[in-house]
Amino acid sequence: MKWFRKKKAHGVEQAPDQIRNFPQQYGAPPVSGQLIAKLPAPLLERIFSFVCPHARDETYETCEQSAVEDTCMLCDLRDLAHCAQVSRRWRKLASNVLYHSIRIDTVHYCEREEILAEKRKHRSFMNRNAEPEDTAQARLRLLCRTLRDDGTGLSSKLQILKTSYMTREGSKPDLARIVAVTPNLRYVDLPEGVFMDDASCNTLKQEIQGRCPDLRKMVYMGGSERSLELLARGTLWPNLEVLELSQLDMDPTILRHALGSLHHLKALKISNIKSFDDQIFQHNDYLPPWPALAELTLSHVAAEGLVEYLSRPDTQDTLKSLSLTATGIRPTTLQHILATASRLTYLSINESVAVSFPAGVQPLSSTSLRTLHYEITTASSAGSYSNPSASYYAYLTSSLLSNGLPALRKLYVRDPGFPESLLDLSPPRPAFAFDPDNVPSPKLSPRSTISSPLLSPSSAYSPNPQRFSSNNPFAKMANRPGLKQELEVYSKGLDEMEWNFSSVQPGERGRRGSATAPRPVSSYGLGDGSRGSWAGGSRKSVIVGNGFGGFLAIPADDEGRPRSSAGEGKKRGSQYDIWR
Amino acid sequence: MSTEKASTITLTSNDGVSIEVDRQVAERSMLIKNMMEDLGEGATATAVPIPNVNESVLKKVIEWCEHHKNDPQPAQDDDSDSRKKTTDIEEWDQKFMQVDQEMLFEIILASNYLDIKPLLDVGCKTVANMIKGKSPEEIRKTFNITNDFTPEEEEQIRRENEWAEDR
Repeated sequence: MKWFRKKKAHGVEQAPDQIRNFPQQYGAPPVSGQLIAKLPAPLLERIFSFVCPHARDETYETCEQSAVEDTCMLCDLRDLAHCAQVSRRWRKLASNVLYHSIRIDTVHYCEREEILAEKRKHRSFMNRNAEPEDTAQARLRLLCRTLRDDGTGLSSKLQILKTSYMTREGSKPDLARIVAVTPNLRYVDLPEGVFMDDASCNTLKQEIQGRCPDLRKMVYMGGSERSLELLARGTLWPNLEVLELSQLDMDPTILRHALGSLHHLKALKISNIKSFDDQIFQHNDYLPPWPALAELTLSHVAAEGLVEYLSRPDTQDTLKSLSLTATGIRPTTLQHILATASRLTYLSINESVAVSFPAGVQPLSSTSLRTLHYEITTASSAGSYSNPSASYYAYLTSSLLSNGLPALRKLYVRDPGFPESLLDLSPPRPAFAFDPDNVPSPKLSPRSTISSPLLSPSSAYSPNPQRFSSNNPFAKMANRPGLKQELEVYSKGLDEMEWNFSSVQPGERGRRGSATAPRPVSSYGLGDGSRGSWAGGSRKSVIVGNGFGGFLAIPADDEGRPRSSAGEGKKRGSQYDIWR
Repeated sequence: MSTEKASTITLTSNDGVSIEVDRQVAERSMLIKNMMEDLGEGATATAVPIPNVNESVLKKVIEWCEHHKNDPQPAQDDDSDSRKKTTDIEEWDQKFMQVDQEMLFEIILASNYLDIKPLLDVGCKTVANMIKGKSPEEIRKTFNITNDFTPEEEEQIRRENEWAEDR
């Protein structure tokens, strides 16, 4: 019986080879010598890193956030470990890859998991509740044994260690034993308790503080004020690159000292700190200056002194990503920030507003910004009849249409009708504006019309500039201010969960722009014909009862409407749109 | 400018065969591209010797470059980018790589020497796919590698990597 079972198990083990079914066309190995032995070491290591792609993961993000998609990471890990068992040369090179960045996943993301789960049930060692062993925990323990017993320097190779949430919370002693022998560790997934100086994590925290001087990311949450003071002395973790602070209750000067001692800091996230106010950004002769950051995230802090922080040239040049959630920084000051931070590519603002946007604010203008989250919602404190957020979106629309953000490719807004506003609300042309159709032709030849300075911004994108001198009906539209780039707009209503996508294309050859209208739209009988797609009053609607004694106007045929939010297939989005 | 790009370069393999290629095709190789930039226009007149690559391999590499000549040039610091990519190989490249092992490793070596990163990656991914899902013994058989471990060493390394085994 025992033999029978063993045989069966063996048969099952062969299954994944058939499932994965790798091409066999490479034929039998050549008899003469080892070809693979000719490959230099870096190439062989490159091959190994393709066997196990996640071994090259060097991000300081948790196991959950940095998972590689469409591959089974445990299978890759096993295959790489098999490479290390092939020969002496392979062992040396594969270990370099294998022990550089380790992640321990809980389950196989492939058919293998089912087979292994079945096998685990048949195994004799189960815990008291007759549950199969926790494989991730067992792996961590075995890894710990390897790293502690090893005499070949594997443990000094380890720079990144990632474990799933359950494993890091449940195996604190094993983690502590591992970090005690890894002097070059840069990032390790830690249980929450470490960040809050929880008593249960004391050993682990002390091991990390004492044995891992090269750590690159740390988090401090409420309760860990005293260990943050350690950081201010400048001897602990001098190479820290990423720092997260939240719910701390401490003196801002200590915070300034701590930040000032970290010369390699690149990213900082601050949330829910009451003492964090305007003064913290102010220049002070007795305090070290703020480090120049590439990424800054502020949420639920009152500080608005960011403009002052950005007054230094080094900070202006390094800041690339800025996120603001419920801060003291109002949307009205965004234009100052964009004007000073010349390298900013990502900006996110999440704000609820109670008063309308003031008049006379300069439009947003940045040549570097690629992604903008502009999530303005109306605060509940605003009167039920006012809608102040609309004025903020109008400001964004006018900024976009005046072409202040030429590099912008992705835009996230909390206004479902926003994509359409980019097409319909382009500001009216003033009566005295230049009109290419009425160029006084005796003075200018058709060619010099093109080079006329007044025309130059639009002629840059016009494929056939000669048309200006013809009586092309589209010419009128070509010179209007408007969106010049293709823009992906993600909009979300207040009660929606998912982002609705629409792509806004700039108007070409004098046509109006379109917002995700893949099917051809007939413009027959629409006004003066120069307006490419649907213009103001020309949309046909029918009036239907809304069930409450009132009436709603809905489009007569859904076919030709410019589809704003959600493409086909996204039922929810389109339904929402119709009954808006 | 475009007429200049259409000019051809002669490459000479290590067995003395000269092959004429479009400059645009040859410049998929960073080595040749940089060489051309350093030497200027005069260099197109003389044949470029490729000492590490024989005729059949060079022809194969040029075939790949022909097919991929219009691909966007990879950025200089593409290493960080390729880290995220998985081991997928596009269909044409898969067919292209259906060669015997000798040619496969020769292509890898040649693309490494000529500094054609995308081709090198395709080659390495192909070898990686041959490794995947195999036991150490099967890997040895596939690549004709001799097991130079003593039984004790073998046991030790099995124990060392036990954490990575299926369980």
